[in-house]
Amino acid sequence: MRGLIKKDVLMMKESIKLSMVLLLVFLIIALKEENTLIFIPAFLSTMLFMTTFSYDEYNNWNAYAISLPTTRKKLVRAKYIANLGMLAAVVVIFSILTSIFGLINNNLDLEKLVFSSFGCIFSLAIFQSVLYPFIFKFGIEKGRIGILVGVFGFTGLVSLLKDKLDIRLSKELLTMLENNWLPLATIVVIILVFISYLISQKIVEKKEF
Amino acid sequence: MKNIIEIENLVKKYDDSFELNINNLNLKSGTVIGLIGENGAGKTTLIKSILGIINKDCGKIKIFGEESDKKEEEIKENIGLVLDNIFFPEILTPSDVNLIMKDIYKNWDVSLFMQYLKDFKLEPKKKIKTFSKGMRKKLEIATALAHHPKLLILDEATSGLDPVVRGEVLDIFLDFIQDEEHTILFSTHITSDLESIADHIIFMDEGKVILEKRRDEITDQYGVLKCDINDFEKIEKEDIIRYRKNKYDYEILIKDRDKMKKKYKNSVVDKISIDELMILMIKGEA
Amino acid sequence: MLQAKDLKKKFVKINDKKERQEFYADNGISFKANKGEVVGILGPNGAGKTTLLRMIAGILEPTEGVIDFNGLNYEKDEISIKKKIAYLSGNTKIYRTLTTYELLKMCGDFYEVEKNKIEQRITEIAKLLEMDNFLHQRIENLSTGQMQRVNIARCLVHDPEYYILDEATSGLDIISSQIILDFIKEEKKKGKTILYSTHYMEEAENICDYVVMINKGVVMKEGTPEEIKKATKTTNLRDAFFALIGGKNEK
Repeated sequence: MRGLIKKDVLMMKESIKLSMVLLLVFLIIALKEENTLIFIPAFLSTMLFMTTFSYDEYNNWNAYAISLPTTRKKLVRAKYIANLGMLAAVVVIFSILTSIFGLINNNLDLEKLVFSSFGCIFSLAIFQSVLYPFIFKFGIEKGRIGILVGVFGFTGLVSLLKDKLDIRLSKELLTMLENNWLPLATIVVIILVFISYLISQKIVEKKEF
Repeated sequence: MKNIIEIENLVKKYDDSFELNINNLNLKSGTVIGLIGENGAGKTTLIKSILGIINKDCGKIKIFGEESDKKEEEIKENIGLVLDNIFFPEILTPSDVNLIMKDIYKNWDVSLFMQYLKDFKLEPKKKIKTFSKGMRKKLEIATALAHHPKLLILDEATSGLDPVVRGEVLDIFLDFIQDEEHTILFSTHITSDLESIADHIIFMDEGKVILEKRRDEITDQYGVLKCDINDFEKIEKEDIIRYRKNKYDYEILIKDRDKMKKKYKNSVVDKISIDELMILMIKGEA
Repeated sequence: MLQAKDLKKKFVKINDKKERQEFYADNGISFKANKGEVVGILGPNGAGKTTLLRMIAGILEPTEGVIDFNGLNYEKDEISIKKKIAYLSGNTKIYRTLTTYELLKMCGDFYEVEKNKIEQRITEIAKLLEMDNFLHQRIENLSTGQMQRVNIARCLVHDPEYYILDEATSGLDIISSQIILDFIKEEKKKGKTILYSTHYMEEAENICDYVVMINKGVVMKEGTPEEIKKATKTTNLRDAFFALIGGKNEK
């Protein structure tokens, strides 16, 4: 499986060069702004990672990979690990950079930094978890349409429900959530990613390449 | 000789009326097996089922004596592949392929792979995207051989190659087969390739194996009998495998040339090429 | 008549040491193809065949040299030439979700074939290339052999005069190949000018009236198959190819 992950990393080589240039621009902006600079590079890297799916499909890589001494399961696992690993790496790098700038400018807000770093990892991990089963099922082209439909459907549903249901949480529950948001969110995200991974695995297990 | 691949009652249905259906097929180790048939006859489907790229509906496939869906990884350690339009993403380079494969095959031989790249004049740092068709095929072949496989599965490995390169590639395959434990299963449309290396021929049509014979048996025994309409009517039904009506004469596919020559003295009995055999089997009437 | 005069095409590549390197994929190629003639363009992979055919098809502009289509050339008459040529490239992808019929109709529109003529033309081509039984099937459900026939049909809807066919039978079984070869013979009788590149020397010997062997961007030898065999003292084109291009002969 190490080989499969390595393949995705090697495929990102080209994109990494390109992103370096973009990141330089962001760094300059970040020096002036007080905001933490994490979400944009993390989002960018996730989007760039999506291109690996297109290249895989174009040369029927998945069919080839299955014929090598590896399994369909590992193929899926490698994609999840490569993408989440990359996301974590990007967030760590930029958290460090942000702290350095914070120290230089003397405006480091540690709580805000932790909040935005984890918020960033969580939101993008959820984004992937929703997207991946679609991509594995329908391919990257149709998968993209799937995600559009999904996002609009979800927001539509939420806004509908908000009007219909008057959700009120007790004050105790709210404070409990606020004080323990990090472990709670971590658990929720891990469960979501894991479910998504199991679904993708089932899909790929049945797929004909 | 041991069986390297054993297939029993393999069935794979597709919605649009195509069905792969193989009752019983055993491939002997130490031989070169040529898989022939029209485009769409099911050659690639068969190869993909053997490799598990597509899920079979039912049946049993054993490779190296093990059931293919059980010991997947161990079996595949010993298989080398060249498939049609199926390879690494083309933004990678040969040296990337080397780095990745090192972690995929236990027996990946870096120096052998590099030697092939050198022999084939492939630049390790160039993206696959920039390679011509011939260069891509050579890279695929180098990749297929660099982990010292026992079984080579080749789907159209020589198509699009010029005669010189094709000759070189066939030489490599011949080299590979010198080891008595090595086996090649290859599909091709270029019958001259078959004539130069195949021991066995499997002929597929509409998802079924319609002929499975040693090549020398085909060349020694099968033949084409040519005659006019009067003589055609005198020929016994059981001697006709397939026949085809041309403008001026009939062409009949027969077995046992010597016997036929004696039996039908007025007719011409010739040897048959694999191309002619294919045309008669598919286009001819039974 | 189609005539190529001293065609050259220069490309720039970056080598391993990151240096710019100029090279000629084609370096001064001339030949002539007459009406009703099949001219084979033969040579090893990377000899410059595809570049040559792409220049003739007007996709690449030659660095030097002229291509003359019976008095017309690309500088002045690009559109009128393009209406007269059919170009089949080795790797065109076609719209897989259309049916053959829909695709041909769409191509007819590209070439501005008159509405009342297109139906007739499609029927005609379908018959020639034996496509009747899958004319209304989606292209993605066709076999490789059928798909390649669709690919050829696609470049013929406008009834062109010049056919430029790059590896038309590569990867096809003998039966599909034969349909295509028979078709080419028919078209030749109608007086079309046909350029044909292939790796199968047996095939070239079968259909080409004239053969241009190229290697490393230059013409090694040209002539009728008979002339080439005589000049190389060989009995078939395959051996002639080995004699001219080098490489060891099999057996």
